[in-house]
Amino acid sequence: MSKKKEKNPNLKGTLYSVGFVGLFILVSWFMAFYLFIDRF
Amino acid sequence: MTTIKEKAKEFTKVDRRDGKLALAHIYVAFIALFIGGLCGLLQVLVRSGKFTLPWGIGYYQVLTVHGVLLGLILTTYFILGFQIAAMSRTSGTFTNKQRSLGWIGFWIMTTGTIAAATMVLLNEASVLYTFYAPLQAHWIFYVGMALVVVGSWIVGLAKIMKYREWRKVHPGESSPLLSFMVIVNMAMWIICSLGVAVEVVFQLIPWSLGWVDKVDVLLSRTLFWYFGHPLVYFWLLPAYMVWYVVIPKIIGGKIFSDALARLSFMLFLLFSIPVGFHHQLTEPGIESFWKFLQVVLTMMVVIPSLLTAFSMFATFELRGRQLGGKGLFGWVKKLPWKDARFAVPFIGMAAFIPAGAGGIINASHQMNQLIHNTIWVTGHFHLTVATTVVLTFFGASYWLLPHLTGRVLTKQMNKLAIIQAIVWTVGMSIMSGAMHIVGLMGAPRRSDFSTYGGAEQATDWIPYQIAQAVGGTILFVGIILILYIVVNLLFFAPKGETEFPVGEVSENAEKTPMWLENWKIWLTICIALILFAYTVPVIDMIQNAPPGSKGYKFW
Amino acid sequence: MHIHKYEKWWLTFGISSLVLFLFIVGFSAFHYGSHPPTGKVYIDPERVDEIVPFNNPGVHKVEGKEWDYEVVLVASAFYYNPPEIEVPLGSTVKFIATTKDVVHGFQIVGTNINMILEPGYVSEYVTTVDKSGEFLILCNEYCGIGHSTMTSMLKVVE
Repeated sequence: MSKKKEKNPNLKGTLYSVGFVGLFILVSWFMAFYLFIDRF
Repeated sequence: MTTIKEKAKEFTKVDRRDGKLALAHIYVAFIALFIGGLCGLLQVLVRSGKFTLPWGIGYYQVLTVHGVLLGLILTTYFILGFQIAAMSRTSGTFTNKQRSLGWIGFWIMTTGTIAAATMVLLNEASVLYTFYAPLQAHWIFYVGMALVVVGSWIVGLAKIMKYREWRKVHPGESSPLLSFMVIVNMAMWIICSLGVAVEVVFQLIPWSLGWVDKVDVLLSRTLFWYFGHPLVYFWLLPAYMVWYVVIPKIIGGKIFSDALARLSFMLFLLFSIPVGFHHQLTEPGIESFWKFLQVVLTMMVVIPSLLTAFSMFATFELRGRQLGGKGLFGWVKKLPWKDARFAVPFIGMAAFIPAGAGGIINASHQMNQLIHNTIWVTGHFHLTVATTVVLTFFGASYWLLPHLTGRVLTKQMNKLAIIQAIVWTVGMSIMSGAMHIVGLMGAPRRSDFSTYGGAEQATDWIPYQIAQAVGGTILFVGIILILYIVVNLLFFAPKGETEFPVGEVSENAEKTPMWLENWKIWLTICIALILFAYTVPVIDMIQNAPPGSKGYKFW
Repeated sequence: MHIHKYEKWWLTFGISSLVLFLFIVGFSAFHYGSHPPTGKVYIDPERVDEIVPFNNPGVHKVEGKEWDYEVVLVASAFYYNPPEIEVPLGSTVKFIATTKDVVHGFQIVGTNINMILEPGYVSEYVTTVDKSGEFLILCNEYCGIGHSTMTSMLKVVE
């Protein structure tokens, strides 16, 4: 972890965390979109 | 805890005279929090249908106080105070001339605030904080609002002078990150508040004084929302400053990337302004094409927040792993959860996930019809400003106030601060959650309690309105707690030294390119984007304007 | 400027999602005409009652147009004229509305009909009413003391 000038430190947890954020945004948006389509 | 165990090493301290100026702003902010919060409590109680306001006080009068004090006064004053301290800490003590400007600005703002508040209390200005024409408030209300804006420019000028002075002394160097962010924040504020200043000074004041009979309603709303959306980013950026610069230091880590932090701030400057039409999506008089263009620009402003999300998680993960966190999420446990300076803003960050998701839905062109002016919107900005921003400000107060007053945050106060944040989270989850759901069911925002003639659909809203009252009451307890802590930090906490934490950049991060601080380029793009998004529709609005509207006082 | 590999993935994913949202709403707006409500007609707000079609508010059956009914609606503090709207299920309806005084909202609860009425402008929205029932109409833009009592009802009948 402490290797100097390491270009790509271990950020797996970060990747999963932002992945969750992205998924949350997508799911909420499509739920709202469904509601919009369903209503007249 | 680390909060009090900070060794008595040499901290860079904010000069006492600058500290006094910063504190003056912060006092006003917390007084506004108390009064505005009390009004919020009254509103949720009224809307539960179980309570009516005494002594002939109007619901919309209370709502105006709530919106003006919390949306404009609390935020602007806290931000200006925080920025003064941040500039002084990172770019050096203000000169006497700069500090005097700061005081002049402060008193102009405060005079304006008192003038506007008086008119609201006299029920001469129950026009809400958006003061949509042709509802017409007393002219003193508008003059007061104009003074608040002008005063804030003068305070901003002091900071810009400080920044220029620093750059003159350090040619060819990147300015301190926190100072740079303050200036971006201030540039955004000045550029956007020009819109509302033009609306108030050239449209509303002459009209309310009777110098002109009519007002162009659509133009006034467009000017307002040219200001109104960057306003929310003006609130958000100081929170981002704390996240990017202060939090890494508090957790013992490093700033993930100075360059990416600057880049995201510049993107905010570019894309937070030419997007006001997304508040006007359901309005007549603006062509769908221009609405959609601003919707596209609105989506661009999501990108710097995506960058920020990654930087934050990365800062936490790098630090957690350094402390021995293993596996995918082992690092999470290593973070200083018992330190209010970290834990409280962290909750703010977490709240920004649903807040941001909701914001994208709101701005999605015709999908705006689903939620426009429903209480979903109220739920949305109680997550953004009243959770993300406000909890970060509270978290910052826990080191900023004792730093400025020469005191320390005791263990007990640290514990109380964490309890405060938990109370806030519970209250807000209930209130904002209920608002989001019942908003989708159609319940409007900014409305007194009503059974809507016994309509069946409106009857279904009542349980959610009661939930809002429960959540709002819990939030008011949260306000009492924060005020207790603030008073302690200002007047009663033990004397001592508290650090103003400013993070250092990770040694792995690359050198910041100078083009990120080339204001000529960025301001030119910023203005070009504004002209691109607004010129044609505004000319159309003015050329094809209907007869104007006379003023009405319907409250 | 160096950017971490995962950050590139994240930005690609995030920006693609935004582009997808924009594509969906943009395509339905500009290809299928599902625009948010708008209006390009201007009238004198003080003479609304004299100007066609607002001199005759109500539900009107029309022929030879893309819609079957026109609902002409005038808002003023604090009521809507007509106070009740009845249209048959499945018909295509054009709502044409304006205000005589301040800004009002026109929201039909449980539907996507949600528009701002501004003095001097005519707001329009066309939709096909494909669900029967009673839908509450309310003002959702603060207009004064009686704001929350400003209602009407849309009845979609079989």
